[in-house]
Amino acid sequence: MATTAEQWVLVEMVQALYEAPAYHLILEGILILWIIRLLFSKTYKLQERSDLTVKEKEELIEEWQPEPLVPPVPKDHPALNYNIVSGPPSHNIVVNGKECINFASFNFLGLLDNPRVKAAALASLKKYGVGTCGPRGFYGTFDVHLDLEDRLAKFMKTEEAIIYSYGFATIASAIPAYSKRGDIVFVDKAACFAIQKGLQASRSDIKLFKHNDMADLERLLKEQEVEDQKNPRKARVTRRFIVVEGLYMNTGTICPLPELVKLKYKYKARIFLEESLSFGVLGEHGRGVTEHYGISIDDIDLISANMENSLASIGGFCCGRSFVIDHQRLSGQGYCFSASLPPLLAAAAIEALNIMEENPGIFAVLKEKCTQIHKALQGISGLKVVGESFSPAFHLQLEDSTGSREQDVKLLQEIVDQCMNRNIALTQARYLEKEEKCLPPPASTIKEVTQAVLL
Amino acid sequence: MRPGPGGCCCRRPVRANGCVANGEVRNGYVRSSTVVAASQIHHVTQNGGLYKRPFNEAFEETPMLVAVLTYVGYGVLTLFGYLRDFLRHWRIEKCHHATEREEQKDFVSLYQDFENFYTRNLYMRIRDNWNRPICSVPGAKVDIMERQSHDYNWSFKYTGNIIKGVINMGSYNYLGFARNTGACQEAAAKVLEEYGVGVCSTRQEIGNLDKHEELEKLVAKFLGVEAAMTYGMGFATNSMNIPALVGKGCLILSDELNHASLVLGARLSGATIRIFKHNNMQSLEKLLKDAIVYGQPRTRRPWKKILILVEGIYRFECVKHYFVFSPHDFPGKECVQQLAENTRYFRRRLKEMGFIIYGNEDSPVVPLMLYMPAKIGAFGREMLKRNIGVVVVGFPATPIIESRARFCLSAAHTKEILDTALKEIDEVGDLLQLKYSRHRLVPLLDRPFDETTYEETED
Repeated sequence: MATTAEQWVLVEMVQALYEAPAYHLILEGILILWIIRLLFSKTYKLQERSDLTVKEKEELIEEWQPEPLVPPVPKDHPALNYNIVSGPPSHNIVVNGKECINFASFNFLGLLDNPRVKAAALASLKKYGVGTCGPRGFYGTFDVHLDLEDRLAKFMKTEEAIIYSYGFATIASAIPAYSKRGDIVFVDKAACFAIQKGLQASRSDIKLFKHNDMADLERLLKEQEVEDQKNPRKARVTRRFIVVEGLYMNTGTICPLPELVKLKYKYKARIFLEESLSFGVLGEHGRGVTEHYGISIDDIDLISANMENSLASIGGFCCGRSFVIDHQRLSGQGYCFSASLPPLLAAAAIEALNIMEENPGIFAVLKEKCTQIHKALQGISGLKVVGESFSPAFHLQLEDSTGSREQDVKLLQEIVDQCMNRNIALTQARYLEKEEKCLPPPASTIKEVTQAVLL
Repeated sequence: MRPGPGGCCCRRPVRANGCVANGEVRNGYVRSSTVVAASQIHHVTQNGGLYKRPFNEAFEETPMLVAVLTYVGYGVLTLFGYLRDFLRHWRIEKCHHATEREEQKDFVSLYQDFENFYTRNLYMRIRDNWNRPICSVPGAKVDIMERQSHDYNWSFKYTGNIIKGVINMGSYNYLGFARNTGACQEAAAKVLEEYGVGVCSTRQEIGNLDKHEELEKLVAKFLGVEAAMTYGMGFATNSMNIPALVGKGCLILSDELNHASLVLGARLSGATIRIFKHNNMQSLEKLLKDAIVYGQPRTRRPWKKILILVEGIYRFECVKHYFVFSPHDFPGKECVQQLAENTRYFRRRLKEMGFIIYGNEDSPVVPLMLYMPAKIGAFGREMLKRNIGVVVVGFPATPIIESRARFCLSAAHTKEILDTALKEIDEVGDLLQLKYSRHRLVPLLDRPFDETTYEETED
């Protein structure tokens, strides 16, 4: 029985062979031959391994000398010799034991030692303790955070705001949340270090345009448009962003926002505006550069600012439409992977906002003082004032450079020291010289502060 | 289980699946720091007990059936996700999420549809388990503001109720310092009165206060090192300072499970990054040998520097590196002892109940495996119903099938609190069928800390 069954199967097979179409047989034949070839061919390695003996490897390991972890630094490098401030860094500041008038802190509205702000912070400390012990996602969201976000959104007249626990991390986390590899970012050459780090983390294509030069920016945008026409499929998925600051930290100048908005709609790029210096300074109510120019805030996709200047607290925030801001709650690295802002700092910021809203007159006072001092410093031989007349932070640069940056820095430091001796606290603008993309010329910065005669 | 030297007797429960004991951990760092002869700081080598314990961690394998069911679960959710997206696209279902402005509709879209698929269709369903707002000190117990959603978590409304006295197993309050009274709070209040809240400047300019100098000296002394630098944000410390140490032409060997800040810092530095298996010294050694012998890829030039990045305690995997300081030499040592006791007790009880617990025995971060996506939401909600606040995590913070609940123990937790929590976890574990472990512990009867007795369970 078995043999007939076998034979029967064999007959079937042979029959099938006859009946199969030719191409089928040829294809199967080729596949079988290919399999046989693969089975018997030698496997090849991607990288030819040098045949070093174990002893040679040990020798190499013994001999290898790494560079020192940090390069040798002279003992008198300014980064190793900080000024020590004793006591609060308010209008009268004690630097290295000397009492000076403070022209070096970003305390524009004088809220640093405001008693109301301190009282609010103390009340919060008594209720919540110091820290939050967790990120926003895991029991680190306090009612004060929600309050502050709400208040900031209302103040700036946007839909939503999101808070970060550190000013630097705000824009440095916001940019990579939206702009990824393959996207294009047009950024001003004078952008601050935090923006540069955010751009580096995003891995996007960076196109720098000359500081405040709209013609240069338009040129770059036009070039990009030409590129787009060559490859429309890629252009459809490449996002474009323009990153600018309201008032630039490195130059004290204001960005030409109306022209930027025009360019935005013409070339379809989104605007990210960094307002650390201009928040609480420009505009009738302190809402920043959009209020200063009278531009609708909806035209700006994202506004980012830190709370460490005018609000005299710690941390930062981003505000804008919910469509934009909500994304950061899951993608903002500094938001998701870091403990949230201590509640006492949030309470201090809320109280500072209260004061700003109750006293809209202080912005005019600040502006007046800025123009006053700006005018008074004009005409000093050898030094030029760089910055807008209404900017509370501006630079004094050497009119003619000595030739080497080091010498310039030394000279400016001497000027700063002389001022200190006369009880005026100034500071040199500090940069990480090897890290900055476009290192600004050495300058000493002056920051103007209103008198704290607020109740 | 061999007893540790120094008379540290076998206080560890016997495990039938065998310990993954890598032997004693030689902490070269500690050895070299004995050169710094700070008289008040005794290093761990002198103390003996804690440091010389064998390095024990366990990661029990995922049961096959559970893994299959988890994939099936995600598959079903994905299918439903596509269905809902389809319905929303054709306006059959109302679209709750925010949309782009009319004026900008012809801009390149800000988000890729697929990028947010997971957020829209999986995360949204259970997002009431995260971002729970609290309104008290994040201590051992916390007050949570009650929220309600009438549109399946797309938006929340606050009812005005406050759920008081929720046991807090989510905050990183390990030593119990989160308090609104006591030494920390008083010191902070005093300085706040005098200095105010902010600084309004950078350290290099005019923001270097005498308090900063004091803090840095104190931290250096505490850790037994020459100098320390402090920063305003933990995330920024790692991400912004690794680039200062290494750059192009250097090599970074990074643990698989390093935190996002370390990963970002490594990327920003521009150095070449190679990953070694989590806590696997053989993998690391092989990478090191190859790196030194073969040098940079293609050019074969020697590496300028090689930096190894690891963590003390990993957030979600919980392998602990041993304390580098001695707990006997600073006030508050009771906190550390209490934390250690709490940790051991809690972990042991959970293992006895039959849950799969990952990580090192001494780690106060206790991950309890849930695996299935539906159980993530269910566990979080059931525990809150029973007045216990837990943290649940899933993809993408963890591998896709390894979702877990993560308990953070604190020195502030008393035994009563732990027992209450354990009772509820037991109940919920039975309700949701979370007791996956096939290797139950034999409970110890000789621990003085432990007053209750249980039946011996068989393996």
